[in-house]
Amino acid sequence: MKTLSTNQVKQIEDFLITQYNIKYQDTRDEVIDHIACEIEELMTSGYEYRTAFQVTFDKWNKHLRPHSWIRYNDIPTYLARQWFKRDIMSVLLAMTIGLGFPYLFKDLIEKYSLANIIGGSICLANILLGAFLLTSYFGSKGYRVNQLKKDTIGCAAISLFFYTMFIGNFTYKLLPLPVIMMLYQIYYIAEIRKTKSYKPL
Amino acid sequence: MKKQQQLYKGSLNAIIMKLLDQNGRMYGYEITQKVKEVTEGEMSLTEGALYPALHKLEADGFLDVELERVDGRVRKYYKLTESGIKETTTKMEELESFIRNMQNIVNLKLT
Repeated sequence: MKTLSTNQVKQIEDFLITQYNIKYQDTRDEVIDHIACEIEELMTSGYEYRTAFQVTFDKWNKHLRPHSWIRYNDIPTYLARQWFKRDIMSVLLAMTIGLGFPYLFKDLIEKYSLANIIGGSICLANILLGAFLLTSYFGSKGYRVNQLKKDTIGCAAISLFFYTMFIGNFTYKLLPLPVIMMLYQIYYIAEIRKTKSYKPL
Repeated sequence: MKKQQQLYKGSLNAIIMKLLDQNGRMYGYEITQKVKEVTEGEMSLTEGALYPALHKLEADGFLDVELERVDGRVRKYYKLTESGIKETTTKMEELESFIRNMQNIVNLKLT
């Protein structure tokens, strides 16, 4: 079995960075080893290094290029594909519950004038959940962690805007958005807890 | 062959866990090669399917990761955790029962 030189391994890493913008070490380490093994196998069966490199990257191209959906436009397809369904489902579920909840409890909310209490507390809870997620995962890096951190900042910012704009004037019609944001924040926390920290060698 | 890949798809996690159970710890490329070898090339595990499955099993707490420097690069070894070993037994039982049922259906004779 032929083995790649340190320089050739470095070439693979450089190509992953320049061509596919694989910016996180955990993803790079995982992919470099697999690609290097495939190149070595081809070289053992008689291919020149350059040709083996080309053949292997042609095969990996569809997995490494960014996912076509705008939400994942800087994330390799093979990673984004595993989150795609869950993310879509969470959006649909949050929308359904968020839009349905205030209308289902409309009479109760209006009878006891609960809109301000519910709206204000949910907005504050969203801001706190965002702050909790950001501080808990402050040093963590990775495609999923970073995406979830950005998402949670977005939700917290929208909630802060809503709080400052509508506190004192909330009606049941304004409640869907904070509720949806809260469900997103819960989903982001559940998702970020699944990520593992990576300590490079 | 293409149609068979679809049949294997639902058993991907079980296949990976069984291989890890038998071999202790394995890295990504090694898993793809082992699958190819065991199935005599009938089944090929693509990188696009393998890594998401490994990540999910890791997130579920069924796999642990060990890093090692090999031939000038970092190699990620996957191995089963305690709960992963238990889960493998469960998955194998489910898979065997599924295969038994499929065989019964395939061998069904009309009387």
